[in-house]
Amino acid sequence: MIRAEKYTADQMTPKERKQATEEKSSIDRLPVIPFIGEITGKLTGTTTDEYWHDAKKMAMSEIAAFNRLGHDELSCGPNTIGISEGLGAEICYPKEGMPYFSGRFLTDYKMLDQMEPLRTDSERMKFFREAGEQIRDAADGIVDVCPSIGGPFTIAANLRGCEYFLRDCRKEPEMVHRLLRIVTDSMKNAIDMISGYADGFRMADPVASPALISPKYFREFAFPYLKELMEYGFQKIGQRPSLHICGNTYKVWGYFREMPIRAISLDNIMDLAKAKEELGHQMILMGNIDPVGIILHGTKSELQQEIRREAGIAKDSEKGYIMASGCDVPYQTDWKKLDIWMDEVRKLTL
Amino acid sequence: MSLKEELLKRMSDGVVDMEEDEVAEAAQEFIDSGFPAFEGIMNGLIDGMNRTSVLFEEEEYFVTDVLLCSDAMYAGLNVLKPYLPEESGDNKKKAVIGVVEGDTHDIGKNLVKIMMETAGFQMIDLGRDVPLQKFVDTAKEEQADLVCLSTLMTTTMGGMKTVIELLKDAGIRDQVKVMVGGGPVSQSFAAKIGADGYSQNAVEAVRLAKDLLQTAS
Repeated sequence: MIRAEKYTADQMTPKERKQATEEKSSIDRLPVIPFIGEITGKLTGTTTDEYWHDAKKMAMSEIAAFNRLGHDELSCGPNTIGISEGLGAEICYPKEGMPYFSGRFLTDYKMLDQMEPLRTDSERMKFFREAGEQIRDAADGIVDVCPSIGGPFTIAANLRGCEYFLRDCRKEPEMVHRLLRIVTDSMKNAIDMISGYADGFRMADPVASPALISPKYFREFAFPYLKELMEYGFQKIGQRPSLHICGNTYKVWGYFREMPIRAISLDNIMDLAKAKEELGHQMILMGNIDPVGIILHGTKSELQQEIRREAGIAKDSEKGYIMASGCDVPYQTDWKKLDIWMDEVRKLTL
Repeated sequence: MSLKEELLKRMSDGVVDMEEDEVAEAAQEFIDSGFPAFEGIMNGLIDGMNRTSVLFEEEEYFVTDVLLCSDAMYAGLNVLKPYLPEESGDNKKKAVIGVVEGDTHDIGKNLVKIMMETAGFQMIDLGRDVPLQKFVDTAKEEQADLVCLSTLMTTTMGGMKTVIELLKDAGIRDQVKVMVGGGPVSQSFAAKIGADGYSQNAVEAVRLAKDLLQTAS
């Protein structure tokens, strides 16, 4: 098994950099977290399908990516895909690209009567634990491992079928809450599981975006469950989570301020300057390089320019700034783009 | 307010308020009172959806609301449609719509379909995860005026370009306009792959479709 090595051009390891950020002492460069997953498999000849089913291959891919980039955090499942699958959803794992939901699972809310929260001794969860432990063993002392547990509203929406679930928020709110309860309890079990090897954790709840639901529904169906999970995870793991929600989230920033969020990951359409002003005093800002326009399709100089622009805006944000992609790095992205990203950040003066 | 006006208002308000049963009831009363179905659709149901579009653009309404409003509109439409004269619809512009192969996210596509149907287009919905050649075959068979392609995933965006190439291979590229949309898609991407237009949301898609076909709005 390969081990994570400190990146030679960096003066600090990601762990040292994180600690220095927390202590408000000086750091050698801005921390960077590109949201990568299956794409790391390209470095080890691992298909998406293998990445999600072979713990050793997942771990090797993540570490290979780290040894190439030296980025500031490693992650892995179970996330929304793994937890939904554990609860009964059917997932399609292609050879290349991202896994996706292939159909609805919860066609009738009567099925809730038989549904139990996800058990972590199930085969599917054992895979995620094994992968997470291997990544952690390889990365120990160098870089933090922060598995993702996904988001409750998104997992529930995927189980039910997104469009149905959105309608249900008005038509059958009590069923929506029942489903969310089972999902939230499942996610708590996932937190218990990852707490054995995680340095922190991530949450992502893309369907709870104001692009789809009103702030009123966010308050009723997303906020309480997100908050409950964040508090639970904080208590179990000892660190508050990062949260990503896609799209223009401005209308729910007030709720962000009421949740124990360590770092808020912003979609590329959001204004970092505004986030610095309105959220930066309370949480680390993460973001928000355009994954398609810049990372996938942009030229080298467009990417470099954007990196300098964003760093200029956010590097002095009160609670800290982590440069990240505005959403997942597209699977077809040329790895050289990620090299350029890291190189450019290493050249920035802080 | 005359009875007719009152029923039209009930249908329009019912759509905006997402009240399926109320809309269906008002539509039935409209027919029972001997009023023409076409007027009920245009000045009641469609009027309600148009008001919904405005609320959506003003960010008063969200996707969830638009879905529920459209459910109410379709509940009314189910009542009124059987009473429409046979020939209406013949001169409608035809559009083939679907989510490209490899992607199952279809809310955006469904919204565009609803809004375009509301605006008077005849929509042929191929659903989601649609094999790329199927867009071309259907456009050819149906002599469609528009092909509308949607995706939320970056991995499947390339399929849009392939559809455009397949349309060329089939010799019908100049007979159809191609519109693209979805989370990762942008104006510059649309230009790059040779699509005729891009729209950011479902309301804009209607404007774009009308512009491309130069129909009166």
